[in-house]
Amino acid sequence: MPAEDTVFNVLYDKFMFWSIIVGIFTFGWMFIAMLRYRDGVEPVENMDKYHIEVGSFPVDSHNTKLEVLFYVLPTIIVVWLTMMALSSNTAVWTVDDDAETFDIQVVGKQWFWEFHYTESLTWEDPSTGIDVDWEGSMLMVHALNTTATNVTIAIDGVETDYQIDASTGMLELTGPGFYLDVELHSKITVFDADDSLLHTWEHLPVGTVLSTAGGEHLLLPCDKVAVMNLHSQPSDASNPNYVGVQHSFWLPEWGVKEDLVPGLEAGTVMYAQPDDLGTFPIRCAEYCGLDHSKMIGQVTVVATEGYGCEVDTGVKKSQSSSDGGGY
Amino acid sequence: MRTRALTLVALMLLMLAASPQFEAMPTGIGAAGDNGCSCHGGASGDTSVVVEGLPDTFNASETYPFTVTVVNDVMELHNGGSTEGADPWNGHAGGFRILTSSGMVSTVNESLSHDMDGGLTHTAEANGVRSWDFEFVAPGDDGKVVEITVYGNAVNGGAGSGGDYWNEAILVIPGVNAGEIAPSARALVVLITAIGLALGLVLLGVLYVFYARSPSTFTIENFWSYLKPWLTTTDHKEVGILYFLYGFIFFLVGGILALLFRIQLALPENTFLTETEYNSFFTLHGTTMIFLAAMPMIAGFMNYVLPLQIGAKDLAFPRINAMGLWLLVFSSPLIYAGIWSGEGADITWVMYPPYSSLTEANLGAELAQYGSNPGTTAFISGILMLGASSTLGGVNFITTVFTMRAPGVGFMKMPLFAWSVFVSVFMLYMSLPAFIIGVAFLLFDHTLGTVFFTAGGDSLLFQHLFWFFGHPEVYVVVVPAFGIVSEVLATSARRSIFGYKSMVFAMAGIGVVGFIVWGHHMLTSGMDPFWRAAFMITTMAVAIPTGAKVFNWLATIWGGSMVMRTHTLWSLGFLVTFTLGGISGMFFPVAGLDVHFHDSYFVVAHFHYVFIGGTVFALFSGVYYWYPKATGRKLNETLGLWHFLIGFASYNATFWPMHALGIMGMPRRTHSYTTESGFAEYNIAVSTFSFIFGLSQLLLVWNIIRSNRHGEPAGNDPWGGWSLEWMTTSPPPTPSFHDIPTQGDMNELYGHHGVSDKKVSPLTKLATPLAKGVEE
Repeated sequence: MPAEDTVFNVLYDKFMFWSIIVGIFTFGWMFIAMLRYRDGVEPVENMDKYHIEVGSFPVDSHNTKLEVLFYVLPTIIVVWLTMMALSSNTAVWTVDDDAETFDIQVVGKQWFWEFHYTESLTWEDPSTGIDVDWEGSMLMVHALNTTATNVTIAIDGVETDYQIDASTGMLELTGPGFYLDVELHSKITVFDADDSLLHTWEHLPVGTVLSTAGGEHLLLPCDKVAVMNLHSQPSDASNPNYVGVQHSFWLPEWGVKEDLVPGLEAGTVMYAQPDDLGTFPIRCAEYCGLDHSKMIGQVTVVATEGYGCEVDTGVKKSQSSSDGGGY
Repeated sequence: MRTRALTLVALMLLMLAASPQFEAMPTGIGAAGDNGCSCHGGASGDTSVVVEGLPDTFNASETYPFTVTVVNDVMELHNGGSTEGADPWNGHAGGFRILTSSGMVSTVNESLSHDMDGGLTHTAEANGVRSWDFEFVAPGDDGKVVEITVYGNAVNGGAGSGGDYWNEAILVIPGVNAGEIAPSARALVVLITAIGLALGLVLLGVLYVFYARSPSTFTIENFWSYLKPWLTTTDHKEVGILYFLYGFIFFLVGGILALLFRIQLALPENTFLTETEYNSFFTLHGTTMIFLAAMPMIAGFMNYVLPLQIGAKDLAFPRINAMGLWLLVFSSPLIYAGIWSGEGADITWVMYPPYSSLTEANLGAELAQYGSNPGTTAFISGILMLGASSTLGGVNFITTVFTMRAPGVGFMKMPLFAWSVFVSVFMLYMSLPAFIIGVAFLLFDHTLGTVFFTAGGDSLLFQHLFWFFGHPEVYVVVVPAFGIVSEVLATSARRSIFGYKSMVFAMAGIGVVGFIVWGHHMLTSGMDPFWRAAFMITTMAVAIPTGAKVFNWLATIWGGSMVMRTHTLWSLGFLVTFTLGGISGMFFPVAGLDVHFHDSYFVVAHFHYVFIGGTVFALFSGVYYWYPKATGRKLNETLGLWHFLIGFASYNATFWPMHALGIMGMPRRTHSYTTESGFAEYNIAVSTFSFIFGLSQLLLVWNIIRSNRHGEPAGNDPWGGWSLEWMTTSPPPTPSFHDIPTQGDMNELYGHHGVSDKKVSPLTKLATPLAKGVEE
């Protein structure tokens, strides 16, 4: 179900409104006509003129003005709906010049998604009471007044466990061994005594590949327009006959999808503007073979370190429809 | 000239037959040599293959050693089995090839074997003996059933190819948790039983109809002489009835397929159908309903009614007409062929490449899982045959309308059903070439290895070709429905249709605009914004003539005096559902909405509203309306009323919730959905009502069979229609008119548009007695 503030939802409400108007008019007319002009209730007007004789073309029953009106009425509605909706034709595929963007490549294979990061992303859970601060060769975990006890630091997959100093509620690590290398995938997770996860800090360097085959989520930063470049690739490149198949990357939460076309060098492009934290589904909409229904995943919207995720302020997507749509 | 053409055809056939087997074979045995030798002769009874050591059931990932021994007591080894000396045939004793459906088989001594074409084959080193040790590593999933095929070859090398005697052993080893039967068998059994039962019922029905004609003289020999004229007929009425019955049977078959996968979708994470079954069932459901059910049923009405309405004795080309029917009949076994192998075509009715062009032959066995099922090849061939059938039909109807109208039946004096047929077949005839070219290229990609739509080619090109046909096709099936509804509503309201000319222009308008809207099926395929806007505007414009038609129908009812018969009810039902389907159709051309709706259940809901609520309801209406003309007896009105009430209510309950599912984010063509997705509640409702809708059709089946014998006799014109088909007897004679009738014109009689002063035109004076003459 698309969120309240998507182009889809705003347009859908307007279309629904006019659909109901058209429906009430048509069905109202129809039911009144059905009930009123039944056999035995109302005789045919002007019966001898309009009577049916087999083998003869009946007398034309028409009224030119009314017939023209029957063409004009739907024309008005169609023109009105078209005017209302025309700008959405570009809106969902364009970004404002001044909008902050986050570029990412989405690769569809039979039958999983891969997310190739072309920009680095550093994020941290907001408002857990815990704060990870890592700059240069100084790593600090502030966890005062929380139940946090353990910290796991994973750098490029190598995990090391540390204890939080119970008296200060802090973990402080310095020295050349704790230099933050932006080229490496680093993740800091904070647990309490029962081993339940309290807080996560993560740095994804350029070139990180996440895959739904391994159960990983697509991580998108909040409050930036995600510019997704979509490519379809074969699951096995050993046979040149096999170029991959059509997929369609669907994010129901934002009400957007776009096909992945195999062989299309530049790929296709899709935009979404995450502005709420949370985890949402990813689906494949275009039939792609045996495990099409298993080609699902999750997208998690995270807060960029230091920026957080602002509370929504109205229809965010409206900025992309400044060319006259008005939703 | 003929020799050259025949040679060319023979060469092409040879290419088709041979092409999938062209593979490089540097060493060992290729795909063609799965028998354990280089394919010399057939299997030999003297040879037996003994496999020892494999368990009855396997545990996940466990390793089992086993031994294969080839026994042949008749054949002596070359040179007594000597391996010394210069004779190159020395040391040729045996060979093996092992294929396993899952898990892994390898030789204990690695130098004895190598992998080839998805299986294990021997090396020259293994040639010297007739017994080898292997290891079988069971797959990780112990719910599977593994089938291991062992080919063993006893060789007497010195005898050359004549010295190979091979045989096979097939071992089926279920995992400890595989259950009693493989789940894939069940749904197929259900389907095959259902189709067999349906065909059996058809035969029984025909037998009953024949028996009921004269029970006293019934013998089974007479039955054949009764059946034969039906199979060889060229009369438009009989061909029309055959078209309709064929379409109606496939309507039921397609319905059974739908019910099977509605069971699968009723519960989250259901495993009633396997993915392969589900994928081929929905593919066949779509293709069946459009090409094998809706189109033939419409063709049935066109065949039966059109010549009668325009006062023609038959169609222009009766023989071509019959050929069209039989091409259609024989295409359905091709389309369904794959399902008997358990791997029917799974490429959806839109057949998008590259998926549909990927096969085991062009991918290789290891990648075969990424390609389409084996049934696809026959499926695509069947679609080509359908194209030929429709083209023949198109030529025929266009010619008939142009040349065979009776005196008085001017183009603007044709009944609206005749007009709708004309517009519909014209659209079909114009759009089919693009489709057939696309499908032919797809078949080349699929079998010959060309690259029109796959690696190096353009897969989007096929989508354009398909939808250039596919969208007009939607109107091809719905425009005749407009025609039927126009006839039924006007007759039931006991007056002429309101705005006849504007109705004709609306249909012609739909016919023209329908050709420039296909891009709205591809709005999310990376289309240029200009074209998105262009297709959006053209698509929205279709609503204008369609809206005008709806308003004209309503104006026809307004001021009339409606007789509520079953056919009237179905036409009114059509008005409701088709309008709803039309309104939901307005949501798709808008890019901002389509990016969410595309390929979701909202689309499924929409096109079932226009296909069933539009075409099928109108066809039901037509059945009740013209049945008396075809058989001389009316259908039972009470059964008809129940059919309408149950059918209409359950139909809406089935398809309305699908709109909500689409908005929630359920994609179409999905085999299963998770519990967390929240789709479960709606789906169980949809599945339940779909069964009621399916079962309600049996009322119509029973009504058609029973009323043929016991229905109330109908005169020439039971409903008070005006067009020429009501002038002739019910059922009409063959040829359909003894004398070509002349259609009169009441406008001349009653004064309209300036001719009011003329009392009775000479034409009408002439026509009236003629009409009575035919009646008598």
